[in-house]
Amino acid sequence: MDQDHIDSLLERYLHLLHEYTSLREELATLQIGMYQNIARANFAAERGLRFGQDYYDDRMQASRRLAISYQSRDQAQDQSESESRDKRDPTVLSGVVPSFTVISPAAAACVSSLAAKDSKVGVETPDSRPHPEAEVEADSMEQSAVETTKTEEAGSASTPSSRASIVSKSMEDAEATASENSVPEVEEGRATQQKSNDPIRWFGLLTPVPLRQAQTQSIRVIEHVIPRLASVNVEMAEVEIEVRRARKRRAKAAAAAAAIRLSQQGGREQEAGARTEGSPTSDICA
Amino acid sequence: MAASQADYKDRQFLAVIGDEDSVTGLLLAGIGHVTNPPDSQKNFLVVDSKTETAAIEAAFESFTTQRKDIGIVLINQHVADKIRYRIDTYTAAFPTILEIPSKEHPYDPEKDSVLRRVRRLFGE
Repeated sequence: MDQDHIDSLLERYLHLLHEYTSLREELATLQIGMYQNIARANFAAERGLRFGQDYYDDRMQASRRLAISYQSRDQAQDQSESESRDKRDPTVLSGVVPSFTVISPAAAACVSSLAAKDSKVGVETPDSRPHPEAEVEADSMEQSAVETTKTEEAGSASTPSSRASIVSKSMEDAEATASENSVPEVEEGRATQQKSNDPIRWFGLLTPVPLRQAQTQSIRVIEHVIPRLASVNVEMAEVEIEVRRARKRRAKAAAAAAAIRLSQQGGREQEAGARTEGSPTSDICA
Repeated sequence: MAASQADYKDRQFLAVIGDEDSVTGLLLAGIGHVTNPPDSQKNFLVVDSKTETAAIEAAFESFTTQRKDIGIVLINQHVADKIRYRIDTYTAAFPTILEIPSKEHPYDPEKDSVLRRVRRLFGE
């Protein structure tokens, strides 16, 4: 019985190991693609420009966050688990393992605000990348919003500091779209905030295509591979502990069985000795 | 376990320790976070050839024990090798440590702590 339990645990462990290795492969492939794309973006960039830490925004806020939940084990393993749980001490099996998921609260918040305000703004989640043309327009829209807020704050004479050349290029377009735009300003402000959360904006407005591809791959790594790897890792550790416990129990049971056998043997020898004497009591005992 | 279960809900960030391209790539996905001004703690560390092991260790210490808002620590495998003794003795449930490949150092299953655990389980 102990052996069966250990075997079923090991079987589950091997399934997890398989998932772990395939996730590892996927991670490696995605990361290789990501590095290649970053290298390509750097190669195509102007001299001296490198897409790296010099451009990180020091006020960055995470747009993808972790959600850890404790779930009971699912599917097939649950069955074997519940079977074995009936038989043995319930404290041995903790029953729940933490599972990791990555969510983007911007999207969640945007959905809730959508429900609350019933407005059309902010449908874009960071995941749903718009088409290139649409994006260019969105860029100019965003820029327009930035511009309007800036001019409101500092008067019309304010000059944007670092990205002046790019900004001035799109300013006319931006203003044009702003005049056409009928969306109320408050909502537009929120849209700006959401859009500017996108880390690709650290590297300017017109980021090279390879960098965007790198971003797509990286999002896949963060949303799908990493949380699953972490969950599998934790689950494997849990199963390891259970296997060790079961092995220890088996060893203990084996030792106890051996002890009983020894004592029985001793008893039988005594009995045999008694039987040779021919006493009737020993027959009753046997 | 009970203590870690209590605080797991606050652990909402992923931290990265790695070379510049790894960190850049992963930050592009939007996991980078800098806490509010007084202390302004970053959840990432860019490691290059000049970074001292002590700095890596300090970052690891900060992400794993001091900060309570980090759920997964991603670390380049070659960086993890520099503080291998710390990684191998780390046993807490949260945050989870994951070693990831880097540009110049592809993933080596021999060094992977999970696969070493597997070997220990079957090899004993």
